[in-house]
Amino acid sequence: MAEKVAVIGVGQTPGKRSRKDVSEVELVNEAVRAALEDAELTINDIDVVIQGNMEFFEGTFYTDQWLVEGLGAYGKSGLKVNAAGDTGGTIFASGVSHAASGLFKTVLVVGFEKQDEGAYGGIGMRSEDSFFDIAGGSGRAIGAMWGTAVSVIDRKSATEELAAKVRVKEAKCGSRNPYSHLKLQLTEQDVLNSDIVIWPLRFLHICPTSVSSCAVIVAPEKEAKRLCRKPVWVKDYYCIHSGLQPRVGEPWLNLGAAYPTGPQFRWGVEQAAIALYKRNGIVNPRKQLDLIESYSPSTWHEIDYYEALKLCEPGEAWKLIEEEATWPDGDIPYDVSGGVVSTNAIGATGLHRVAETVIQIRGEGGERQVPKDVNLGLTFAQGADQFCTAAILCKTL
Amino acid sequence: MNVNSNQEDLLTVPHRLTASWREPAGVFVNRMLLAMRDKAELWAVKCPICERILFPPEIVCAMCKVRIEDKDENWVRLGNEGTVLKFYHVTGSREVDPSTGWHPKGQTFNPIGLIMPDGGNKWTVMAHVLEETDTSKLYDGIRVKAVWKKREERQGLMSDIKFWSIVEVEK
Amino acid sequence: MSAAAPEEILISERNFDSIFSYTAGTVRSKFLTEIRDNKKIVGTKCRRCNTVWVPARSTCVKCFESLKDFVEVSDRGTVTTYTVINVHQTFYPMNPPFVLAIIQLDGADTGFVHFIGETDPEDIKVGMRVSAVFKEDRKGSVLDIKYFKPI
Repeated sequence: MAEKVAVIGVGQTPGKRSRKDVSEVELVNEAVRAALEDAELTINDIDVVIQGNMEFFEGTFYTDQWLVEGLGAYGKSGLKVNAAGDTGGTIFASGVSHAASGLFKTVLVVGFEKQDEGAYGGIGMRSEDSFFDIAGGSGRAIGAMWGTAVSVIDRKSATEELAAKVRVKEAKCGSRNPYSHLKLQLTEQDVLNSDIVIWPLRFLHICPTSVSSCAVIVAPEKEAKRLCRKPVWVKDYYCIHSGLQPRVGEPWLNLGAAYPTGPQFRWGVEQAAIALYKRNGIVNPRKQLDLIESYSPSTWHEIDYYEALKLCEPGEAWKLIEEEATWPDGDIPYDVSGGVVSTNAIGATGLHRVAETVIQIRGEGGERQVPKDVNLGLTFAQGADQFCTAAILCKTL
Repeated sequence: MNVNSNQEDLLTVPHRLTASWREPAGVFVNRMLLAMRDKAELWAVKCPICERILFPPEIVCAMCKVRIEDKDENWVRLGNEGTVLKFYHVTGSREVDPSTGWHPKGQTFNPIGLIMPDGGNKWTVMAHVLEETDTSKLYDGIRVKAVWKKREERQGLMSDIKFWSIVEVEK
Repeated sequence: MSAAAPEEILISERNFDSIFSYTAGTVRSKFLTEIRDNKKIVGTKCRRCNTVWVPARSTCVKCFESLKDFVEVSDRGTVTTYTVINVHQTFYPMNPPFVLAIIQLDGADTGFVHFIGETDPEDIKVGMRVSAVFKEDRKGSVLDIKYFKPI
């Protein structure tokens, strides 16, 4: 990057199913104030405000205008980015590129979603190509998630029992994260008994709809070193939103790159990982990375991504699970925050992943801090099914 | 008066958003839909370079980044029968009113098949409705045939095919 | 199968219909319930720049202070600008012709958008004084004020 960039502050609101006590404006304000406090800055120190959410979830558009006082954005430079689930990642990428340009001193990046204001099903149902509507029986996003889940079974990467084991790990991690929405006490039997949505996807495997906001402050090197005691450096990032997308009544399934003919959900993640590993000399990610904060919208995605991220050979994700290598005290802790299955406020989610990675690299995770030294973390956000923005964060330049 | 964060009367205001859009299908898809409506025929195109057979037809091959010319040799007629590569069945409601939690009960749908019509190749996959609702009778690789609506009911939409029904295999 | 003759063009209609639920939050709820329960209009006052924001909001737009103090403003004010709507739209709560105005209520530093009624649009002038007319049956909405009438 032209200028080195660091994260100098993070703020999160605890995930909830519903927040009737705050409007959208007040919700983002909470995260912004938390980030400013963490960075020990005031709003006057911020040059640029970049904001994002999926407006169709709240039915409130022009959020860049609507939220101006909550964001502290009045009169400042900035813009809004809206990229489905990858909103959190793309606003981060936009913020980092503003900082890397050398034209700005501090950039505030804010994502949120207030999903108690809209009906996800309505939005999902009405966004396909109208010539191809096949009378509502399709799974939309859940159908696309099914593709990943069944591919894990077919490839023999994991069994239902091993998936249950992973889900329990995710739940334990979520319980220890004060910002997590779901803090479930689950046993493997609870998971195996959970209602089937589309086999092998069960209710408990799937992410919730959450309300939360996350704010992150980034700055170029000179400012970061001047303003922050523990800057966390953004080593690299990569956005990819260019998977095959033919028009069908099942846009979520991406036919042409769909299971079983193609990789589907994992495509963006895999491409981003390949690009970042190549640019950063990562040949053995399991050994060279210290932590991963992923966008895994279901337990099956987490398992699929062990292979997409090349933590193991194809078909061998079960080894990582049996060895508990992706557990908080394992080789490659994966989603110690509890991940997306614990909190999914779409516009904020990708940014929560960055926030957690920053917290872990700083060593400020408290009860959930992983026992080893975290130097290099991989974080990514995902959207629709193939959008992905991945970033590598590190402790030292 | 001070801002009281224990305020009990927290208001939510429901609002209904309706909008409608009118859209064309594009040259190739338009032709494909007309063939479905008028002749109950399924047509795809083939990229001359990578030879992917694309349904619905596309004017540019995304992988090769070339235009697929509107020539007879690039159009491929697909059969009325096909193979179900994978299928799934969704039950349960998806639409919820966030103000009240109300959702319509008893939403049941037919299973959806990812079908490769005869004449296609591994890149030709169509998502469509399967007639058989008992998923224990379905399996990966089962043969199905398209059941079309009557000509007067067909409109140039994917739903001109009512569903795909199981082809009974001679034993 | 390639194009032989001019073809009919199919057009499909895509319809969107979904219900959303706007959350007023603590501060806006107070603004709405004061109208509903007490026929009072309240704003919030910034402790730093003293701006009184009506309708009440939770953060000062100018200085980012958290706004903690509600102040009651008058239900009377001055028309700062107005326009006459002549074209019907499905989402208007009134039939045309009707008048939308920005009214600065006494005590407020901001404008308040609402209708002007009980007067011919021709007789409305910038600077004229108006007063709120409340509905009998109020629900906690800015439309609990029917309109502002000249005084």
